[in-house]
Amino acid sequence: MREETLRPPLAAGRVRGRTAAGLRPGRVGGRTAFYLMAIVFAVFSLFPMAWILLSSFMPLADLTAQPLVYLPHPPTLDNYRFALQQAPFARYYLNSTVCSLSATFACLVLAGLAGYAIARLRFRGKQYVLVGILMASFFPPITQLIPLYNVMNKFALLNTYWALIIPYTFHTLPMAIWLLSAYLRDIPRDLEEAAMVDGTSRLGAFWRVIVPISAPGFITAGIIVFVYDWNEFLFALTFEPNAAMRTIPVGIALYQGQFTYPWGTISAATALAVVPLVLIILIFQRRLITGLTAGAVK
Amino acid sequence: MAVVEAVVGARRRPRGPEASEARLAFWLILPAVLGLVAVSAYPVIQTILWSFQHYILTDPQNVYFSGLRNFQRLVNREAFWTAFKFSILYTVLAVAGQFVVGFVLALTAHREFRGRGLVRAAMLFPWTMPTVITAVTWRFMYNDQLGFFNGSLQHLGLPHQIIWLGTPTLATIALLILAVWKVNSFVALVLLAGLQSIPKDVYEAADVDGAGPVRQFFSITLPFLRAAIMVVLVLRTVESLQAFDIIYGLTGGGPSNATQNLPLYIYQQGFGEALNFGFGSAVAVMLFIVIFVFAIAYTRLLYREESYA
Repeated sequence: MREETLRPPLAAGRVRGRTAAGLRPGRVGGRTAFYLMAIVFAVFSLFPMAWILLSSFMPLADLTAQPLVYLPHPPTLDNYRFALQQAPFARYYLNSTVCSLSATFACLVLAGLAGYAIARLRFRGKQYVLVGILMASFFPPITQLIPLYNVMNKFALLNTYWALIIPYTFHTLPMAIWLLSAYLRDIPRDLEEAAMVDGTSRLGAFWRVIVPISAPGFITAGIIVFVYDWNEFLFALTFEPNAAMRTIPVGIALYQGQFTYPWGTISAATALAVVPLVLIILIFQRRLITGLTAGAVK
Repeated sequence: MAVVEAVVGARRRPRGPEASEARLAFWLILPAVLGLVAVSAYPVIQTILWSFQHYILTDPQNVYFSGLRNFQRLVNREAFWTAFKFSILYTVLAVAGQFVVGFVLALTAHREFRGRGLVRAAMLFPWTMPTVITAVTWRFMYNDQLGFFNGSLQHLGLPHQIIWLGTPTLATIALLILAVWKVNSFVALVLLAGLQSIPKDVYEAADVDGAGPVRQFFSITLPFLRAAIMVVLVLRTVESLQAFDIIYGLTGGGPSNATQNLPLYIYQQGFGEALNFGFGSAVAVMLFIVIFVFAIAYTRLLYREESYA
């Protein structure tokens, strides 16, 4: 039931209803045109990834063939082998995983605590705190880049995971607090009070009652935060000058192969980089949509 | 966790429940606020301060307050104005394209039809991919000799010697196509959420009154969506003014800086060969001002429309 209140009206679309004016199911011709458009959009959205996937299985001869060939023949795993063994993409994958997962975890802990306070506790100046947190999310990262670089340099954090974990944690925090406090607000107070009557402290009740119940909210926030961290480029490019510390996006953007067109290696690396995101889309499609639109719609 | 609990618990007893709640809230919010101050607010303030200083990283002995010197140099630099103009051009055209395509996509995906889930998953795809990686992918496809586009044009018997990223105009068009591809799905999702909040009976009433689909679109759909449209336009505009990954990955600002926008210029000045933190900060402040002006303009627009409504 909480699901319904958090989820933007998108979910309501499940209920069979009327459609937007101007695109009504009408005669057969209209319907065909409509399906055509849906297909065009789906193809338009997916074809670059399909092309990368095909390219990743192509031997060099196919990649450089003129005129262009669309299907790999014969399909080969050489590009993947090369990307993971000769080229340092396995290392980049590890760097991305460590930074993204650590930052997501840290962000969820901080956002859970702060979101709980904002949603459930009475205190003065709450609206100022909220406005301040919201404002922080509007500062463009590019305008923070130079001072942050300087700080990282001073504390000798450049070329360490901390140089990414710390900014990622706090750059995603406003969004996470926003999502979680909206979610926590809707949890019935009785549940918490019942636990407290049983002698549990407020924080004990938070940990044992609120967190498990609001797991869906944490998952939604966690997905959005993880995708942001996994995809981040500007900080990763700047704070990790050492090539061994690159994350996947930076590694792909800066990869110089031994051939003029290292597209085979890059395609394989891209396909691997996208795997977690594809899984997220397939498994958590609705949560992703919720998380992406919730901030914008409210 | 246990430590915080113990501390808070110990302090709670002597005071009333109100005070204890406020105290607990303070400790729960404190880490988040401290971090945001350190990682978000401080760098912005520091950037503003440095914009008034002579500060080159490689010359740390020679840092001093230089007043408006950085800004004077900046307005006399052609590269700054090129980047400034390109930022505006890119933002206006990209947002317009994303909005129009996203709107059509939203109207399409709003309908009930078999396979809608699939279309929605496909829509999510470009938006969820890392921007810089999609840009590199498109650079690969735009390649003039071996790329997907020219190769496909050749198969279709069309002119296929297009040097997509070689001239300023073509590179700009190539960039805009990528920008629309990347973001129209986000626009569509937000508008879709708006579309689905429109009560069905409004359309039914319009049907009874004999209003056609076009009339319904302009008299019902658009007015109902106004808030969602404003949100989308503001978010997209602010994001486009900050665009970095997409340009870095596709053109790197080229050919010959024709697609360099303000963020790329900041990066080049701050971290390129120049390492000029003072000057780079001044450009960052200018970017701030541009974003601020756009934000004010939108707020004005929204306010005016609301007062007429």
